[in-house]
Amino acid sequence: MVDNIPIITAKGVNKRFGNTRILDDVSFQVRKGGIFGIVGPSGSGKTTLLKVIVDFYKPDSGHMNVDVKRVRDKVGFTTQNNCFYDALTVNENLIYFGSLYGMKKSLLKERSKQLLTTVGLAGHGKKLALKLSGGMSRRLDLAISLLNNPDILILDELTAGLDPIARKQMIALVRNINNSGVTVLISTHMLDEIEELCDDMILLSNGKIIAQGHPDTLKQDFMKYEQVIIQTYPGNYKNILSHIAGFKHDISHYHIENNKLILLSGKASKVIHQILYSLNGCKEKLIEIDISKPDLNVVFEKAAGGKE
Amino acid sequence: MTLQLFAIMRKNMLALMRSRLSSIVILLGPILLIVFLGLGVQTEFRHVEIGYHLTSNADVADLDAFLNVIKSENIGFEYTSYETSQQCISKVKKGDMHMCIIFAEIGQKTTIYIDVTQSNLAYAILNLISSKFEEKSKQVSTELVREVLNQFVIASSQMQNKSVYLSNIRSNVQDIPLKLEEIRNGLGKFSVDMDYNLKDYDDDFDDAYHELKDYREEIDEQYEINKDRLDEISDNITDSKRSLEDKKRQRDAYIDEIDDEWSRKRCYDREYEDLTPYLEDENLAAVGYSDPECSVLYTLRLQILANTKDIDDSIDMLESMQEMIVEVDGDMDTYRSRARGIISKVEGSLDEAYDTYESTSDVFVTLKKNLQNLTDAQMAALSELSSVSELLNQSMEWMSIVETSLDDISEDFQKMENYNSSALIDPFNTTIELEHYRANRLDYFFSSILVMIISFTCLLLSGLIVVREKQSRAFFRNSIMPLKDSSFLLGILITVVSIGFMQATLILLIAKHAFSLSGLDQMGVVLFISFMACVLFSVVGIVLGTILHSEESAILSGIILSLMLFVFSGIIIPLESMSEFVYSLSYLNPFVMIEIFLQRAMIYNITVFSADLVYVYVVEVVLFLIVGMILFKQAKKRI
Repeated sequence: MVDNIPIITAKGVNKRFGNTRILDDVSFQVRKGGIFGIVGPSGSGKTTLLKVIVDFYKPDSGHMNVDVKRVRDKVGFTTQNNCFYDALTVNENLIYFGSLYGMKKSLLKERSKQLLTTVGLAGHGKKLALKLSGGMSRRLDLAISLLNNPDILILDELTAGLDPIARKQMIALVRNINNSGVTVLISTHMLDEIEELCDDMILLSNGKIIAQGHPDTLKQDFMKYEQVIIQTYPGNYKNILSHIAGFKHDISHYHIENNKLILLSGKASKVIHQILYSLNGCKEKLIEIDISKPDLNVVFEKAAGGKE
Repeated sequence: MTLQLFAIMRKNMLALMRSRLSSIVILLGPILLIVFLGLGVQTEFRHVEIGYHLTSNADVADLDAFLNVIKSENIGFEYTSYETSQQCISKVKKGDMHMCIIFAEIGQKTTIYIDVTQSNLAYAILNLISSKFEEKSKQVSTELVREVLNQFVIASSQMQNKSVYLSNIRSNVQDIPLKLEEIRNGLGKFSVDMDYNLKDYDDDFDDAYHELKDYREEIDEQYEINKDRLDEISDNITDSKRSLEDKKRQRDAYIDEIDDEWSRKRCYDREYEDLTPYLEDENLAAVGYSDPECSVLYTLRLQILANTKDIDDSIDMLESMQEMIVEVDGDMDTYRSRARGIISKVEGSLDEAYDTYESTSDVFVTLKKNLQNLTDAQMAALSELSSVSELLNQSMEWMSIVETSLDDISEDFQKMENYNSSALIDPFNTTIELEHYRANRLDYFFSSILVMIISFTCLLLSGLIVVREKQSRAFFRNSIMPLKDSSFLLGILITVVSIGFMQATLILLIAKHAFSLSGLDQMGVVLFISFMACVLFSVVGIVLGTILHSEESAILSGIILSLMLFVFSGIIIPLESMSEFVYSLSYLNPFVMIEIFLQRAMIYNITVFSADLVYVYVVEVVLFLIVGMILFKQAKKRI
């Protein structure tokens, strides 16, 4: 149940490391009980923003208000790096981090058992963390983050590196956690994940919020594009592009990379058809053609008014 | 916080134990080291060349006895005798001999020259030789001590006798304060105040002189005034007399004229009568009388005479007055002379009195001065008496203490009669086994080995754990947990100190049972110092770990730092041979500091630590912890 009460409020947050500006006037609100998405390509400042939220970094200017009793006690953080000790077993990791929260041993044992069941690691308590699979490691990290019944759970690239099944399970798990009243913040570069989970989101590029709102709304702007990759021989792509000049308005963005022509278009099928039709005229032989959802970097470059 | 510290320590222990190599190094490392040390280090010396020279006064019999003692031990010493001390010493200088002993007469200084290039060996040999010297000297001095003990017994009985005297003296002295008090009171009552002022007498004399002078002047003045008055009166009388005499002469002239008339008229023949009764009649002419002319002359003469009768009286009176004045004048002179004489006499008396006074005054001043001195002396005497009284009281207390002490000493002496004289010579009760053991070089440098093991273990381990923590993915999670940096570092410190202390305990136990090290009699103190060493080296390692970024660099830096501390500890090169600067800084070296503590406890059995060193130790631990904390915070920013 999403309240309209903001639990996190960022106002004009700026952060620099040396001469590099990591966060640039970031302002947003996270509603209590909701799932909030932070989307952006690598190096866009997502993790830094999350670290500012958990009070690991202080903003150079602006305010980050987290409306919980004590941030370090009431905010759980699952990082993309699996922050636990490989040399310890699953149980030992839970007991160690639980002790740092000041939890008593009896309570800790009970809570560990309950959490392992919740995250699907029941029966793996005595396993060394080093020997856990990628998915299981993410689950252990999640379990550690939930040890102290947090009000806010931050998930940094939770599903990165997981297979589709594990990813689905993880998303379901996050939804369950959210249903128990925990506000969830997800940072990811997977837009479909956000679409599936989030009530609200921001798009971050080069430390700046370039868009924010409901995923459905944002999807209209950014998810309509598809990426077409074509490789031909001898690869005179400018010649090909001149042959399809009549359809140029259907191409939002293009560039040549690794001797391949990469196009971004809202009408990909139509553009591919025209290119294939023009290949004979251009005396080009098709080597490879691929159509896919665009990489976020490309989308964000476009959103941020990047090169064309 | 305790829960957190325990959790950190447990986690560190588990992580270390999970690594087989780490656990082997931690558990078996010290055991292997001590075993190898035991195998490698032998209790006997081989091929130790010792030269000796006997000075002319040396007792050959004693030297032979000494050499026989050493030779009987069969410890691989080879002896060579030299004719001159120079020959013997030069052999040492050339490295042909390990040691040269110049024997002097027993009781005199015996000089030992050592080859310092093999310091450890040299000191170990010196130790052994010293013990043999000790043994020989023990033999000699046992007899002496026995004699001394006898003397003590005699002294004891004499002291007991003296103690009685002391009691008597004390009782005598007890009365002295009372008597002193009496004297003091007496002196206090005796007043020598002399509040006279001689100047008053001077003034009196001056006044008297002035008065006399005034008298004299007054007398003179009065005399002159009276004289003037007398002269004036005399003049007046003379004038009056002259006037009266003129009157008298006039009268006489008149009378003569009357008489002449009388004669001429021959009135002596005529009838005449005294007309005096008729002088009052207004009509004298109507009075009938016989011869008026002669009667008139007669009556005139009578009247003149009658009226001038006073002139004569007056002249007589004036003359008598003149006589009286002359007489008065004479009397005045007489009186003045007498008065002057009296004044002169008074003056003379006064002069005499003044002379007497003057002579008395000197005596008086001297007397007054003496009296003042006497007063001062009285005050000083009173003060001195108080001090003496206090001193006497104190002395009495001391005498009581001395008396008690004498009794105690006497008792001690009596106890000493039962003492073993050899126990007196050797308070550590050195046995022949112990001496044999003291020759073991392990005993000498065991403390250094212990410090070395602790330094390497703690320094490397703490540095490694900190670096590993920093590299660990869990470091970020630890940083966002409700866990203070100080607690985190303290957790690491406790872990490392526990491991280091466990190793040290293990080594000490093995050493105690396997090698019977004499220095481990103070096991508790040695363990405590080992704990201190673990703490100090661990905090140094923590600082190292916070600075470095990789395990390799932590290991290498730990080894290099440990070696540096070791090299500058004086074990290889004596500190005394280093530069003044290095020498002065050497006591800041944790290695040196801990080794001093251990050597004092193990070799010299001193369990009280030097306050300066303890202070340096505490300052270093606190300083390294603070630096470690600051650097750790910096390291967190780099996540």
